[in-house]
Amino acid sequence: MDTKAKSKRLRTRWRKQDVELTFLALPTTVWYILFCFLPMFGIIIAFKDFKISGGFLSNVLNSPWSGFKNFEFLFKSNDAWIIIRNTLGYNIIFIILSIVIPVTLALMIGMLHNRKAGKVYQTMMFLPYFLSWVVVSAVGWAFLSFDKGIVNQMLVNMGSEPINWYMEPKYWPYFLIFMNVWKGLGYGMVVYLATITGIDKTYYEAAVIDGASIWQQTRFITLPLMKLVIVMMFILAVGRIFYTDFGLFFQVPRDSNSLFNVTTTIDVLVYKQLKTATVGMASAAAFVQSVLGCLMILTANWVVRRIDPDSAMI
Amino acid sequence: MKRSLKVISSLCMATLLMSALAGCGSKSEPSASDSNTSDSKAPDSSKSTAEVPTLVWWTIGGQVPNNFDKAIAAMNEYTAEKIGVKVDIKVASWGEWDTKINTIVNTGEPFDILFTNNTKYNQQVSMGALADITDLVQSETPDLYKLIPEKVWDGTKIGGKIYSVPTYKDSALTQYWVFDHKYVDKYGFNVNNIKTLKDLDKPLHDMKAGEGKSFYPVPMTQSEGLNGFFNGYDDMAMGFPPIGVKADDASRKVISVLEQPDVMDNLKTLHQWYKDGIINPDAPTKSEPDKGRPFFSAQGFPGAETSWQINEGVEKYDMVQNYGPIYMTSTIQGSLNGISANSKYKKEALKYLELVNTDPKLRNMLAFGEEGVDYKKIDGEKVIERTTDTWPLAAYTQGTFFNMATTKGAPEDQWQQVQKLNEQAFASSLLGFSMDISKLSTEVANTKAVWDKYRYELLTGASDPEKMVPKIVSELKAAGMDTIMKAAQEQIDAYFSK
Repeated sequence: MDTKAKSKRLRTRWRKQDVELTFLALPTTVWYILFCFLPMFGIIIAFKDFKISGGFLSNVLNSPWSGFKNFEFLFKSNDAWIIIRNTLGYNIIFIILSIVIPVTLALMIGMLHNRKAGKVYQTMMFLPYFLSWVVVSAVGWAFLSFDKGIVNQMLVNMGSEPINWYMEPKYWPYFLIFMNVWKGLGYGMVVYLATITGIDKTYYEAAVIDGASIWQQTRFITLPLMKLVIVMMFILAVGRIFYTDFGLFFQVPRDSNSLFNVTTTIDVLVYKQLKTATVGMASAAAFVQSVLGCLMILTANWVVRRIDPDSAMI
Repeated sequence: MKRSLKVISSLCMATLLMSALAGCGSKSEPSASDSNTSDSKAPDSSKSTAEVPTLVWWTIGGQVPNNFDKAIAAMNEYTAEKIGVKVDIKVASWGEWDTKINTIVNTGEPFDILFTNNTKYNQQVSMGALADITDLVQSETPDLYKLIPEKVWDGTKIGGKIYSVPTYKDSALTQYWVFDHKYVDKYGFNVNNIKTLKDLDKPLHDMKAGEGKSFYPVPMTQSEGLNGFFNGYDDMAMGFPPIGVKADDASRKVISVLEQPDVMDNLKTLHQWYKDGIINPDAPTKSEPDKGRPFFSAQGFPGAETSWQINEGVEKYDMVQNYGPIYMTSTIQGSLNGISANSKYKKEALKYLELVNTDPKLRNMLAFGEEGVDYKKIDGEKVIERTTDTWPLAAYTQGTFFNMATTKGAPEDQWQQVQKLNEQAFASSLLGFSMDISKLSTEVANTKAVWDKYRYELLTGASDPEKMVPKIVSELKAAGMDTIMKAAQEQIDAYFSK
C-alpha cells in the first residue's frame, strides 16, 4: 500500500481549526468511552460464575472463573438454531429492503422539481421513526386484538370468522418486515438524499445535452456516484447482522408463546435469560453475538474488496 | 476519501464490537462504585453514636401514592424512638419486580432488607446475596425466633441454614374459588357444592350464556393463568412446576407433573373453557389484569374477601375453599424478608423485622398506610377501616398477620381462624426440603426456557393439551429434565434418610 508515502505528506502541526474539530467530536467521544469502552470489562462476566460479594465491581472481580460453562446452555438448547435462523433471516431481508426501498424513494424524491413537496414527503416518511416500539405495539394491539381489534371487527362485519392474530405465527414474518420497513424508511433515506443532493449538477446538464433520458441519467450518473455510500451502508448493516431491534421483536408480538418460533431473536433470548437465568449466561450470549458480528463485518468487507477495492472500508 | 473512510470505519468497527457489551449485564452508572456505603445515611463515626441508621428495604407493591413519604416518616419517628432504626422503603411494582430485583441483586446495589419469595430465594442464596442469620436470629432477636413456629423456620432453610425471616401468616396454603355475589344470585348456584374444576363447568357456562358474547366469566392474564393450578404437587421450591412430587406421596417419588392424569384432565377442562369463550381470548398475551373480576381462584383465608372487594371494586365476593390447608416448602417461602450479605446493619435489620412482627402499631402502619388518611382506627390497634385503596404495600410481604388489625367487615376472629388453618394444615411429604440447583445451572436454564415457551398458552387453556403436553415433555427431556429429576430424587433420598 502507499500509506507510507501519504503519511509523509501529513500535517503534523496542530492548528486552530483542530481545536474546534476536537471540541465538536468531544461529546460523542465521551459517550463512546462511557457506554462502549468502559463496559468492555464486563466481558469477563461471561467466563465467571457470578456471585455476590459486595458492590458490582467486586462481584465481577471476586466471582470464581468458570471457563466456558456459561456458553453451554446456548449450544445445548434446542432452540439455538431457530433463534439464529430468525436473527439472520430477518436481518438479511431487512438489509436488502432497507437498501432497495430507501434508495428507490430517494431517487424519486431527488427528481422532483417541486422541492417543497419533496420536503413534505420526506418528513411524512420520517415520522414513524420517532415513535417508540412500545407505542407501535399498543397501536398494533388496537388493530389486531381478538375481541376489540379493528381488523377483526371488519372481518366479522364482512361475515367471516375473526382471527386470533397473536396466536397465528404464519402472518408474523410479514408484519414484522412491514413494521421494520415502515419505521426505518425515512431514517434510511436521509443519507441517500444527501448524497444525491451533493452530486454536481453539471454532470446532468452535460448528459441532457447528449440526449440522455431520465433513466439513463439515473443509471450512469446518480447510481455510480451513490455506489460508495450504498456499499458503506451495506457493510455497516452486515456487521450488525447478529443484532436485532429488541423493541420490534419483543414489544410488538407482546411476548406471545405461539409466536416464539418466528419472533425470538438473540437479543430477546438475552433479555429472557437475564430475567430467569444468570447474568453470566446472558453475558455469554451477548459475547457470542459480538464475536460473530465482528467476523461478519470483516467477511463482508473482504468480499467487497475482492469485487471493488475502492469501495471497501478497511 | 479512502483514508478518512478508513479512520471512520475502524472507529465504527470498534464501536459496533462494543455496543453489544454496553447492553450486557448491568447498566449501572459509574457511580455504583464498589464501596458498600449505601445511600442510607450511614452514621458518620465522628458524630455521636446516637445517630439513627436508615435501612433500605426493597419490597413489592403498587403505585406509590403522594402521601407515601409522609406515612413512612410517621413510622420512622415511631421506630427511631423505640429501637433507634429508620427505614427507607423502596417499592418495585408488581409487574417489574421480577426483573428489577434481579438487577438490584446482581449489580450489588446496596440494600439491607429484601422481600423475596420461592421463585427467587433459592437462586439468591446460591449467589451469596443473602446473609446467613441462623445464629444471629436466635441470639439477637429471641422473641422473633420464638414467635414463628419451628416448622416455618424449617421451610426457609437451605442446606440447613436460615437466610431469611419468613412471614408467619397463612403459611399453609388454602385455595379458594371466589365469585362475584351478583352472579351467584342471578344464576342461583350453590357455591358450597363447588370443589373441582368440573363442578365449575355448569355455573360458568350459565354465566357465559346469560351475560352475552363479550363477557368472560374467567378473565386471565398470561403470567398467572388459573392461580393454584399445580397445588397438589410439591415443586421442591424450584419454581418449576413440570417437575414435582405429589404432596401426599409418602414414597416421595419425583414425577413429570404435566403427564399426570388429573393435571391432564384439568388442562383439558381449561382448553374447553377457552374454546367456549369462558376465558378471555387474549389471555395468553394480556399482561395486566382488569379490575372487577367475576370469578377467580386465589390463595386466601377467612375474611380475605374484604380486601379483594376494595381492590377489585366489587360489592360482595363469595368464596369457597377448594384445596388445603397444606404446608409445603414453597408455601412457606411465599413471603420472606432476607438481609443483604453486605449490609452493615444486620442486627438492626433483624431488630426492625422483630418489631414489625411483635408491635401492632408499627404493623398496622406498614400494612395500611397513613393513619387518618388511608385508614382509621375503630377499636384501638385491633380493628381498622380502610378509607383509600391507594396504599401500595401488601400486608403479606411484611410480617405476621397475627398482630395486625382486622379490616372492618372481616370476622373479628379472622386471624385466629387463620392460625387454626395453619394448625390443621397437612404437611407435604417434602416439607423442609429445598432443591440445590447449583450444579445443574445449564439444565435448569434450558428447561425453564422451554417451559416459558409454552406455559402462557397451556395454563390459560389456549393450546390443546392432548397435542401440546407430549410435545412440551419431549422438549423438556431434550433440555435435560431427566437429569434434573434424577438429581432431585437423589437429593430427596439423601435428605430424608438422615
